[in-house]
Amino acid sequence: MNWANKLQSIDRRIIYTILLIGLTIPLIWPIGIPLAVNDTTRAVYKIIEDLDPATDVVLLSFDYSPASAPDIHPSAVAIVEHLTKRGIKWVGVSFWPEGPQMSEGIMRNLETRGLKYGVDFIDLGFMAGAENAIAEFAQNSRVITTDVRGTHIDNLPLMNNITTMKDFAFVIGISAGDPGYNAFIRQAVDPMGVKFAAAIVTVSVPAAMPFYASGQLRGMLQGLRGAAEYESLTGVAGRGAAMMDAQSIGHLIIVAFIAVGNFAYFLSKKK
Amino acid sequence: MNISTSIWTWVMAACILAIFSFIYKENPIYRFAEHVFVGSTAGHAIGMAVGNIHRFGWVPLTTKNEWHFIIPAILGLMLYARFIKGYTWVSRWPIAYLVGNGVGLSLFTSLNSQAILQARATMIDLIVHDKAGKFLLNRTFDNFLLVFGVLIVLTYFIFSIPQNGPMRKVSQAGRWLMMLTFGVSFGNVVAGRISLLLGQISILLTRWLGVI
Repeated sequence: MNWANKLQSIDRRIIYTILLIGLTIPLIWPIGIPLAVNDTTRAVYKIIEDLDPATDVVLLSFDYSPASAPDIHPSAVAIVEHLTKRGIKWVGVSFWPEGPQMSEGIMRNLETRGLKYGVDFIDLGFMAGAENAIAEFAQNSRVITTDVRGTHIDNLPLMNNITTMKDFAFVIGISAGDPGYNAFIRQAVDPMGVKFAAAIVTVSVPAAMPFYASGQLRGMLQGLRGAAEYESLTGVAGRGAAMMDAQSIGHLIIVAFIAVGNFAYFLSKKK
Repeated sequence: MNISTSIWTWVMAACILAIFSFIYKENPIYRFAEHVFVGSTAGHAIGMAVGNIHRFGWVPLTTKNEWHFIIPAILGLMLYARFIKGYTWVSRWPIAYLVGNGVGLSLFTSLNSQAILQARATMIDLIVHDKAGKFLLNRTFDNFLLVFGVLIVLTYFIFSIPQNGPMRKVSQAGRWLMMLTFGVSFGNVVAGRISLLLGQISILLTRWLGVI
């Protein structure tokens, strides 16, 4: 077997070992590869910057599970950090059963830093019914009568001026699948004119792009990269930025192997 | 280095490494971890489902006199008639309700959001100027690409006209554009999977080994 053929049949264990080493080293010793910020991320940042902390309340929909958390949870944390920095109050809700577990960790962290549940943020918890539930909650946001800690919404000042989803100054869907950003677009954005942006998993980005181009999505955080970009805009360092070096190195390794494989393929055909 | 002393962190790390061992080759440790994962995921899903039925159905029904919750409860039970010989037809009623509900909810909204409004978003100015009348080359190029990209991709799917001559050229250009789009999708899938892998490596390095 000549070397062109050998390069086309590299043992997968060698490839995975190189990839694992390439991902681990930058996690331990970050390189600081520069990161360009996408317009989609900047759009979300600008909308939150323009909100009024005295009057505006933001709705965050935690529609993901631990399976997709490494790709999308850093975006949720980055958005909450920005809202906290600006003193903007938020209401959480979930249309995925595991959503409240994801938001609970974020809320616990805020409470250890002196922010108050019920004053600065609340979580309405999970509402069953997938897209039906989103449609119902959009038209009547008081359909969930108690929050995750058992308090009736009449006793939660954050919900005082909220009747429909349109009453939230801005809605952000942190979504990993179905129901997710497209259900919000179908049931709340287009019929009601709700101002909506999404933080989505990387695999869904190409499918979501046309909705950003059409204005149905006002902004978008694209997976882990979106989180890193958002952290660079807010100046609050988080897990997104820490992982981007490793992700970039991982992509370079994969591109290098694809290039080597193709080069060897064409070379062997020529011979 | 600050290695964890929690037994559960060690169990978590062992499970992650057991799953990763498949990279080397198929082995009994990997098989064990795979079965534990599938079993615990199914158990978790059942637990969540029972918990939700209790919280959103049983509790309002029995403690708040919200009697209308009996309807979804009965419809849900009717689904299990599939397993009773001679009464399979009963399960068709809740399925018909579910299908009707889904179609009713999404028929107009899908058409509106994913077809009409998306089509409208391609009806844009080809030559773009700013408010002061200055020609904007970037925006003009973007809009040309968007409009003609949609048209040439749609041309590829016109099957009622023979694709010969210029039509064939346009159709092939549409195919190339779709290939580019699929390439972008594949790139995003790779990026997404790397993110998930990074999440697991990060857990091992932070919670288990405490090196970062």
